[in-house]
Amino acid sequence: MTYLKHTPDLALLYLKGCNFDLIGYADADYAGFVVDRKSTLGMAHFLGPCLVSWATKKKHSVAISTAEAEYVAAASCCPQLLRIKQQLKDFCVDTGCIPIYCDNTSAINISKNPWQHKRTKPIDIRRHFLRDNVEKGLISMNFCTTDTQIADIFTKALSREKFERNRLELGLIKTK
Amino acid sequence: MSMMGELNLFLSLQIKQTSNGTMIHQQQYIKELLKRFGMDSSKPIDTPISPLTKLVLEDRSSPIEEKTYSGIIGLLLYLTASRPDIVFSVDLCACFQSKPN
Repeated sequence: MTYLKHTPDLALLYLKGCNFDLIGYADADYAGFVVDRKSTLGMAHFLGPCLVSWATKKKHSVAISTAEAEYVAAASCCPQLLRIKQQLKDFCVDTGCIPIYCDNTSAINISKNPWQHKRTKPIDIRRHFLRDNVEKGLISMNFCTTDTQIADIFTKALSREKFERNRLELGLIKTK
Repeated sequence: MSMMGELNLFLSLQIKQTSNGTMIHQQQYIKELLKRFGMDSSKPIDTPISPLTKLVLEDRSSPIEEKTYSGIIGLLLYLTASRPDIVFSVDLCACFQSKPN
C-alpha cells in the first residue's frame, strides 16, 4: 500500500484512432510459489497499443518443466484471445491470425509439433486446445526475449528498473 | 435515456477524455483507501513487492485479524481494474488469507 502512496496518479491510456491488431503475451514463473511449488501464469492482451485485458493465475497443478508451465500459460491465454476476436468480428473488424508472444522456444515447438515427447506427457489433453488452434491458423506462436516479454510483470516480483519499464509498456502513464 | 454530459466518474473509475485519447485512473479511490487505513503518512516505496520477498505459511505469534486482511485484499482487488501493475502482488497476498501474520 505504501507503493500506492508513491504512485497514485498512474492511469491507463487508450489512444484515439489506433489500429486493431490483437496481440497476446503469455508468461510463466516456474515453481514460483514457495508453499506448494505451483507455477504462476501471467497474460496480457493488447488491441493495438492499448492493454485491454490482463490476468495472473496460480496454476492448479505442479509443472514438471519450464516448457510445460509456459505452454500452459499460452494455452490459457488462447480462449480469451478467441473471445475478443469473435467480439471484434461482430463489429466487422477482422483480426486475422493472432500472435501470442512467449519467451520459451520449447513451448512454441510443442505447439507446432504433433508428436508427444517426454516433456509434454504431463500436459492435460484440454491444453492441446492451443495446438489445435495453431493448426487451424487462428493463433500463431511467436518468440520474444524475456526483456520484451510484457506479461513478466504478472508472474514475478521485478527489480525497480525492470518494473518501471514494464509498467510503461503496459500503457500505464503518469497523469501529471 | 437522457444525456448527462461527458462521462467523468463511473464506479469510482475516473475517466479523463482528451483530444489524444482516454485515460482511466482511480486516484480518488487510492486516496480514500490510504486515509481509511491510516497510511497517508507512511513512507513511499518504488515497487509493490521486492524480488527477494518470499511468502510462506507460518504460525507466528503476531496474527492480524482475518476479516481486516481479506477486507483490504478485496479493496485492492477492485483497484486492479485500472492498475495492472499491482495485480501480481495483490494476488500473492490473496493466497494467504487464512491465519495472516
